[in-house]
Amino acid sequence: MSIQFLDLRTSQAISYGLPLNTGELVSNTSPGTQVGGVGLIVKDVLAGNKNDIRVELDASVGMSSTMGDIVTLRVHRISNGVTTVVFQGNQVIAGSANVITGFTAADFQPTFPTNGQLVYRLFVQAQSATDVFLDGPISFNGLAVAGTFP
Amino acid sequence: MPIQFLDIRTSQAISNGVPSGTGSFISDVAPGTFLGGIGVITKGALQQNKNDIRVQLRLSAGVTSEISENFVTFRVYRISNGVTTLIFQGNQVVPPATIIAGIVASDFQPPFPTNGQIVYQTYVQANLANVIHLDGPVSFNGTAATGTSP
Repeated sequence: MSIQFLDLRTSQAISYGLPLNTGELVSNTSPGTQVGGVGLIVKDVLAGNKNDIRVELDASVGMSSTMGDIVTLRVHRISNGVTTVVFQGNQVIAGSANVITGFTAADFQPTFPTNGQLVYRLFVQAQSATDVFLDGPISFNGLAVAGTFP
Repeated sequence: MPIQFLDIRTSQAISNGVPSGTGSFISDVAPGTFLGGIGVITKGALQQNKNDIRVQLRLSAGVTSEISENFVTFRVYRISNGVTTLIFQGNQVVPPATIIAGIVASDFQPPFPTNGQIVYQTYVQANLANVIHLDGPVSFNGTAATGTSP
């Protein structure tokens, strides 16, 4: 088998950041506020590559707070009717300042989806229910490849 | 020669971050604590494209400093044709709270590897011993392409 490029999908909920502390409030209930989602189409994968899919997910999220807080960023995979956390981490949000945080994440050899699509969703959860603002920008992008050389 | 997609590889050492300040300490001895390694397969490059490889590398690492502000040094090495080369290095302040720190790095027209694989390894070093925790998540991903349109 050779290396196959499968798909690239983008989800940019907010392209232009808002003024400080004017965005939507971030939920403090798990898994948090959904800020992005992509459905990577992997149905073109060769039969010999079905068990060697590799997914990279990259995100930037602009947030702010008045007093300062800590947010948890989570990526869920939804495939074959099953939801799985594939990436989770915490990030401090300082008071009275915009921050664009982000990450690169990977999903290595996920189970092949029978419908040919791997769905990934990005959530942000705050500790305070009333003090983290999604000022943006927000961008969540994914890439899928499969296979290798003999 | 046409633009060719070559490969994406992922290395996610920690998918789910642990609570702030509970991860292992980052080494203060150069090059530091190993975070991840990938072998990007470039053997699919056409003969005429062998000297025009571009590699993008992305790293995220959740880190927390104890008590006061400290800093870490991120390094990326290329290992190819038996030679190890430092291709990216930078410092990042770590506050006494969890952040997802990260880098985007690139390697432009590296020498073509005779075995068809370019290995990249990334390390993080703390400025002091026993002050900065590696809480995760940790993800290190790379993409390679080559060629251009005539």
